[in-house]
This record gives sequence, structure tokens and C-alpha cells, in this order.
Amino acid sequence: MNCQRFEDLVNDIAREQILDVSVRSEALAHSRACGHCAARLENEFAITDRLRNFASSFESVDAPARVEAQLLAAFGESSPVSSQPPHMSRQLYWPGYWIAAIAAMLLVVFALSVFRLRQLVPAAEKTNAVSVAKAGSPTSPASSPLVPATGRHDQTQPSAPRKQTLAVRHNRRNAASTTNQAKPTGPTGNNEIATDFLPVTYGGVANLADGGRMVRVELPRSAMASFGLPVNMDRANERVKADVLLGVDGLAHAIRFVR
Amino acid sequence: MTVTQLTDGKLVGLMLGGDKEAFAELYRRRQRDVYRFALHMSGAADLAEDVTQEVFMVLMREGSSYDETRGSVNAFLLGIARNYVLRRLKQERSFVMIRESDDEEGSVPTDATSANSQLDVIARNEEIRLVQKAVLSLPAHYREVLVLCELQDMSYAEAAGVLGCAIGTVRSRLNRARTMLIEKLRPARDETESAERLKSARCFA
Repeated sequence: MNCQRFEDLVNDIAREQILDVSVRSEALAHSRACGHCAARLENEFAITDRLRNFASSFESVDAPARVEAQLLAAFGESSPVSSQPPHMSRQLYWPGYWIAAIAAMLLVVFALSVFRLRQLVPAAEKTNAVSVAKAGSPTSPASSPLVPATGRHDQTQPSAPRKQTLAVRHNRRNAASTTNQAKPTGPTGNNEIATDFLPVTYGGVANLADGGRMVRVELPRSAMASFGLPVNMDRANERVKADVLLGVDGLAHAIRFVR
Repeated sequence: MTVTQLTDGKLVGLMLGGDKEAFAELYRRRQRDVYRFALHMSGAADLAEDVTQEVFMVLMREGSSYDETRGSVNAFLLGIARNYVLRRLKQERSFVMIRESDDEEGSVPTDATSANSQLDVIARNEEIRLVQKAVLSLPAHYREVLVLCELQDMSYAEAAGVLGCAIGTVRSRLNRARTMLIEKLRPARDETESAERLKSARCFA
């Protein structure tokens, strides 16, 4: 046995761990022959003794009885799943928790204000639309120059003012969209036009009936070029909306551009 | 069959079913290991108390996450205790540093009954304080191995289960921890011996 091998074993020898008898006697024989390893073994025995004395001095140490009382009280108060700590530990006083709580509250307030703002904007738009409709022809919205008779949102009930305003708004958007874009291949909603679905993977276009879902995203206009669509490079930095068809595997299978 | 005859795993199952007696028995069996582990790791009795409480609260809330095939209940509890202790030590690093240099009453147990004289008690307490200070000065990843294997008599495999590392890692860390401890305690021991020599010389003078 050499000193390196002895070094590997000295810990186990000093701690009286289970060792092969021949290995142990060989190691002890080496320590008798090597002064350095003998000193090492002596140090290891000494530290083992000190640690054992140290550990034995804590043999009678238990958690205070009040901990058990508090835990049992907590157990009795509620079911194990929903029980709460019997007292707030120092962790809960850590300032980070309070900062996080304040930040969360501010976030909620901000989100609510944004939501409220978004509610107010359509209301204002609706009010404007009503005034436009009234200015045109209060009795016959179909005769208004803003409402073509062949429009998809033609009003059949002239007595419904709310529908009148919607029709005005939708047709105004449709009229604006048809003036500055190539021919759409299919509508996606009441006031949107979209291209056909373009396959993203080689697996072909997935069907929503097979599972999966459609996600609305925004892309730089330049991304249209990678699908072979014409792009006005002057507006390449603008963003366009697109619907991405995600399969049940979570992968994007197809995309269509929406305006 | 009473709860005292049941295994820890069975007690956990009963506890999750709302058996308070099973929880009490489990606590009485395992609180000592958890408390001592936290105490040896931190050197602070109040922190150890907090950690013990937290560990058993976690057991109450999330005892269903215990998987008997992955280790003993004791290893599960000590694993939780380890996470809490390390988190608390990280938060209260300065606090612990002060504790290391202080003579804290309560963190070093006094054992007057086994000592023959008051001097023996003082010497023994001083020895305990020195070892405790040396243990606390070890880096946490060495300290936890030393505490588990040396002070709580766990096998390498059990300690590896608690720490979530390989047995070889436990062995090498323990070896390194002991070597560091020898180095830290060497001057203190030499000083003590020289002081005792000086004291005895004065007595004989």
C-alpha cells in the first residue's frame, strides 16, 4: 500500500467504518512504516474523538416543547392541506416579500386602468359613429353613402340604432382596407381580411378539427417575404398581424397574414 | 396496533388522512434530528426552532409529495430542513457571523452532571465551543456533510439521499471537511495545551 491509497482509507479507518479486514490491516501496517501517514492517522483519530464528544454533548438537546404544542394546535385547527403556520416566522418579515406584494398591487392597478381605458375608447368611437349615422339619414341607413347596399353588414332593421352604428363602422373599415391592399383570399372575421393558410412545416397544414389552436401574433412585415408574399420594402419595419395554427404537438403548422 | 409501532411511512399516510396522533408520533420521532441538524448548521437555537417548525408545517401541507421509494421520511425531512437552513443562512449571513464569534448561551449545552468538578465543566464547555466554532466556520457544503455523517451518524448513502448527490461526493466532501477541521482546531488545541502547561507550571512553582 502506498500513501495515496492510505489517504483514501484513513477517513474510514478513523471513523471505524466497515472495511475489508485485509485492507484495514494493510493500511495500519503502512501507517506503522510511514511517519507521515502515522501522523495523519493520529490526527484523524483525534478529530473523530472530538467530534464524537461534541455530538454526545447534544444528545439531550431537543426542539423546545412549545414547537410541538404549536404544531399540534395548527394540525388541529385545520386539515393538513390547508393548515397555516402557527406564527409568522422571520421569513415573512423579510422586506422582499413586502416589496413584491406592493409591486403586484401596482401591476394589478395598472392592468385595471389599461382595461378600463380600452373599454372607454370603443365607447367614444361608438358615440362618433352614432353622430355620423344621424347626420347621413336618420330613417334609412341603407341609403347612406357610407353604407353600401351590398355590404355584408347591411342593416335590415332600420329601427335599431345600435346596429346602424356598427354597420357604419364596419363598412368604413372595409372601405379603407380595400383601397390599399391586394386581393384578400378569405375573411377571418367581421372586419378582417386574411391570406390563405401557408404551411410552415413540411407536414402540411394541420386542421383545427384535429386539435390544436390558433394564436394571433404580430410579425415584421418583412416576414411575409419568407412565405413568398410581396412586401413593400419601404414599410418592411411595420408590423403585421398573423394567425398561427398550432397543432396538438405544440408546433406551428401554418400561418396566415391578417389585416 | 398503536401508532408507536408503525413505520414512518405509515404514519405519514395516516397523518395525511387527518390523524393527529400519527403526526404527533412522527414529530416526536424525528424532531430531534431536524432540530439538531439546523442547530449544528446555524449555531443558533432560535433559527433551529424556526426551521423545525417550518419543516413539520411543510410535512403537514405537502406530505403527499413524500415518495417512500426515494428514501426514508427522515431523509425527506432533513432535505427540507437543509433547504430552509441554507435559505435562512443566506438571508441572515451577518447574523450568523456574529453568532460565530459570540458566546451564545443555549447554543452550547452544559452538562454539569457528568463532570467531576466545575473546572471540568468549564473545560468541556470550552472544548465544545471550539469545535462548534470550527464546524460553523466550514463552508456550508462541507458543513452539511460533516453534520450528517459525523454528528448525526448517517451513512454515506443516507447523507447522499438527503443532499441529493452521489455517495462519492459525500465521501470526498467529508474527507475535505475533516481535514479542514483538523487545520482549524490545531492552533486552538496547541494553545490550550500550552496554556495548561503554563497553568500547571505556575501551580507547581
